[in-house]
Amino acid sequence: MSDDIYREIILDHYRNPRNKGKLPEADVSIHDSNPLCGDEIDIHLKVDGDKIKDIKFEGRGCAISQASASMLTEMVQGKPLTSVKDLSKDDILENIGLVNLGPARIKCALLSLKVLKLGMVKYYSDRDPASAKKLHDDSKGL
Amino acid sequence: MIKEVHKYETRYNDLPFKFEGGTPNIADVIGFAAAIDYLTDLGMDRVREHEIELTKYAIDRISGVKGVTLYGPRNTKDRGGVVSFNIGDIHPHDLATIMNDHGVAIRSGHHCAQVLMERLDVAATSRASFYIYNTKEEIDTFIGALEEARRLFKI
Repeated sequence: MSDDIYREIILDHYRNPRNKGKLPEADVSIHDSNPLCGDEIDIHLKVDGDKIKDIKFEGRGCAISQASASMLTEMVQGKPLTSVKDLSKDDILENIGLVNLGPARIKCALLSLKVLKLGMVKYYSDRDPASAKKLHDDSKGL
Repeated sequence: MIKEVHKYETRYNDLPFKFEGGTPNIADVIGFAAAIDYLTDLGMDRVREHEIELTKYAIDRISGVKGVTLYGPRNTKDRGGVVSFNIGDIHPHDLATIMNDHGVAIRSGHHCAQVLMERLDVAATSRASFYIYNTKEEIDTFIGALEEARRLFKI
């Protein structure tokens, strides 16, 4: 089972994370952590019209949480907010190729999606309260 | 605990009884006595001796694994039956998942000591612990699982 989880691509994103760092003049920055395991993720977003113009993350934690964050930034870079808004848990697990992750580790894989959704709640809160509420509710299920 | 309960009114007992549950924890007290009898029969000196022997063996074997950092004093007389360590850049939660696949249960994380983790400048640590029913063969299994983790992460 571990062989399925710790594949080359996960280790590569863990050791050489993409889009990692700060984002000067970010429109939204948000931080969250998993108190049980201590994984931490910060996401910085620069929004241009209805698109994610740039995204960076900072973080500390296990290979799954950090690789998942790295892969998520690649997945949403330049994408319209509307499509990012609807990303689900399954989309993330498919994206990182870990659809059978057990209950103990699934939170690691989903932390970055949760932080991204919370970041978008912040972004939408004044602009589109209905979307902000939906995103907020979505984030609770992660 | 209450004094009186009516349909629209409740009166609590006097202090300190109002903050106590109705039934004291009798079952656990009896269980605790049984545990003390069990360990007294074995002899706490022998329990400690076994613990030291396993800890010494574990420290010797873990020290031989490439990429391992051990925490705490090396002298087994100065430590309990636990060994905290890290290996390469494998996060302890990842290590625990891999060890688990080999039937080895370890503790991973902050161990409720986040300030110590900051002092050691690590995200977390892994921790193996031993008790009277553990054996040297089990430590060998543990070392095998550790080598497997090393192979998986190419350390």
